[in-house]
Amino acid sequence: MIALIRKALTHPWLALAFRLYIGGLFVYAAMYKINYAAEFSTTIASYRLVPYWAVNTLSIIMPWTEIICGALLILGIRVKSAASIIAVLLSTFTVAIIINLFRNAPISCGCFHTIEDPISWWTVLRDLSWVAMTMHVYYFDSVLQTDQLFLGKLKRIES
Amino acid sequence: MSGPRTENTSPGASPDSSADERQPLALDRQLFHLKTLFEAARDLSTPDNPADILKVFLPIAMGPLGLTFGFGVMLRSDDIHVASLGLEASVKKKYEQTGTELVSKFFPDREIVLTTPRPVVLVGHHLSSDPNLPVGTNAVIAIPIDKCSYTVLGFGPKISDEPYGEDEIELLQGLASNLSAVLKKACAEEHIHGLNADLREKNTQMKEALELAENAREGLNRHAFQLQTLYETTLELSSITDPKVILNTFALTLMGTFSYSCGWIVLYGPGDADVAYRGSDPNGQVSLTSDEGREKVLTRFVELKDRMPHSNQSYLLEDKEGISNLPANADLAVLFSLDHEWRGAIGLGDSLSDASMTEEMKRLLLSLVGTFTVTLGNAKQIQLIRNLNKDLAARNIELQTTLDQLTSAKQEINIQTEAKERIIGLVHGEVARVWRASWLDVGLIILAGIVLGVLFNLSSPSGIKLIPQSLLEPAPAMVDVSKANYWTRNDDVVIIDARPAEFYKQGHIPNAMNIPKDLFNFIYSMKLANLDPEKLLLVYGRTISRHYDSDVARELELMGHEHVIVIDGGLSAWEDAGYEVAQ
Repeated sequence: MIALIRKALTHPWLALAFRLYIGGLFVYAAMYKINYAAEFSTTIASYRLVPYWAVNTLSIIMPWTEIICGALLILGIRVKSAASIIAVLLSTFTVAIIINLFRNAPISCGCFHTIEDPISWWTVLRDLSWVAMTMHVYYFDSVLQTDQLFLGKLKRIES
Repeated sequence: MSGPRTENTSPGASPDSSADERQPLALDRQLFHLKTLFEAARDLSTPDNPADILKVFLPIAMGPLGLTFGFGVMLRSDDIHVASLGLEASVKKKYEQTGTELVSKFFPDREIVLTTPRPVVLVGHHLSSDPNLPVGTNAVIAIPIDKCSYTVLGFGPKISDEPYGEDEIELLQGLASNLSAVLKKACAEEHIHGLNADLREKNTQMKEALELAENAREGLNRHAFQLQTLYETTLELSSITDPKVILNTFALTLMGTFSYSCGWIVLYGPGDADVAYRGSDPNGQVSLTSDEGREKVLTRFVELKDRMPHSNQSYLLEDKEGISNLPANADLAVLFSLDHEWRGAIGLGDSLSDASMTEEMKRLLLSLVGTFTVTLGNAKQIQLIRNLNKDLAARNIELQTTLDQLTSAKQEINIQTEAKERIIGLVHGEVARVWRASWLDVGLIILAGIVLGVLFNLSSPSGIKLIPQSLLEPAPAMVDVSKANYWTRNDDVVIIDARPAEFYKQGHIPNAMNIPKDLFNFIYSMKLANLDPEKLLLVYGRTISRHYDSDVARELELMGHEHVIVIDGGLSAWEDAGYEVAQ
């Protein structure tokens, strides 16, 4: 039973589902941030963790990094690298939320829109679940990867 | 021995004759003796030979004295001459054998005898008993002639058997003196003749020696000339390495050395012929190089059979018919051979001298040809070595080119191998990178994010500044919280909280008005539009991520407010100072 559960939990198709979900999530979240860079910079500033001289730059670069990683996950290209970046980003967001929860800061998450509910421990739990999904993708994803379409040819060249 | 007789007697005179009768007789006798001496001197002057003088003297002495016999023994060095008159032949033979002893008896010490040059005349009957003398000898005359010549004369008794008279002894003495003088003269003349003969002989020998010396000198000169010619030719040829130049130089050398106006040298090799021709015939060189010329020369070699010259040997052609069959004009020809492949001939024609070639000249010619063949052989070897070196150099170049091509090909193979390994490595790396997280991929993704973000922000109308405005603008006027607190309590000031509304609601300075940067225009137009621009405005609100106070203060200044001051440290400094905070 445990093995079955382990097998089900580590199944590549589950990892594919997580991969598509996380990829779509990041593409969706990034679309808003890209179109409203000024608001996203205000959101970053509200966390009071980034130096004021780096806030605007980060608000411009981060959405594009997110959308690229999300797209790579969806397309199945360089999945492990993209998943690694997304895991790091999600971990950073989670830590930032936790810090501001301890500060009792009256700020919203800012993950998808400017106006959202204030951050809470549920927000932390949500982000941690996304981190877990990303880790699952990192370790178990192996199907429907675009890289694998070229892998056979590359293997022939290698041999 | 009895002494000489002093009584003067003459044949036929009686003792009783008177002095007057005797005086004319004595004068006659003296005249007779003088005539005898004169005739003796005259007769003795005729013969030249001492032996002949001795023969002539005996009748001269015996006749006037009327002696029965006489003999003479003459010893000259080791020669003995004996003359006799009135004696048996055996006596003469005896003295021819023992004459030396007779002479030695009368001249026991010849050096002493020489000190008394005058002849000694001994007269007496005692001489008859001397065993060395013939029986009956009455007078002996000993005459030393010179150091090596002595004469002893002996005379027998008078026919009248009378003893010798004094005048007769004087006559004998005088004759002996004459004889001595004549003998000495004859011996001297003979000696002079001998000396002259010796001198002539020596002159002849000297002339012969001079001729020999002259011949030897001429021979030496010729040898020196030949050696000089050989040396100079060797020196000249040894400095030349081109075979054609050697042929020309040697042809000229031979023409100059042996005085010929025409000279040629031809050397035939396998399919090749080198020629040097110096002569008046315009077709000479062509005829030498032609196949016919080659055949003619090589035919001479074949004709020599076992005398055919082998490697570095030469042969002087003396057969006129053979010389005339050579391809070019020649009076003198030499065949030579460098080896079994290279053979040639040398010809000299039109001699400028009438003298024929001597054996020495021929030897010189062969010696020069020997030097020439060695030098030419060396030059040919050098030429061969040079050609081989050229071929070797050409082959080396070809080999080097091949090596370069091989090296280039090897380098290309190495490059292709390396490229293949790199491609395989890249493929391997790419394949491996697909299955793991790569720092390169991470970097590329982040770089793509940066590039796309910046480009999109620059092109987007809602783009924001990469660097915040507050970092570039001058810092606003600042005041510390204590003074700000003083102003809020004693002066008419307006306090503005520039933070977002959520933070304002959590806590703010009492009587502070919340005007966030994002809602500045809206709130300002509602609440502060009519505010006196001279009024003091205190602004606060700053975090690590945003300078709200600076941004709002700048907006207020743009609205015309002249006294806008930022509270240093904001609400946190205010709280730390213990001042009241409104909720």
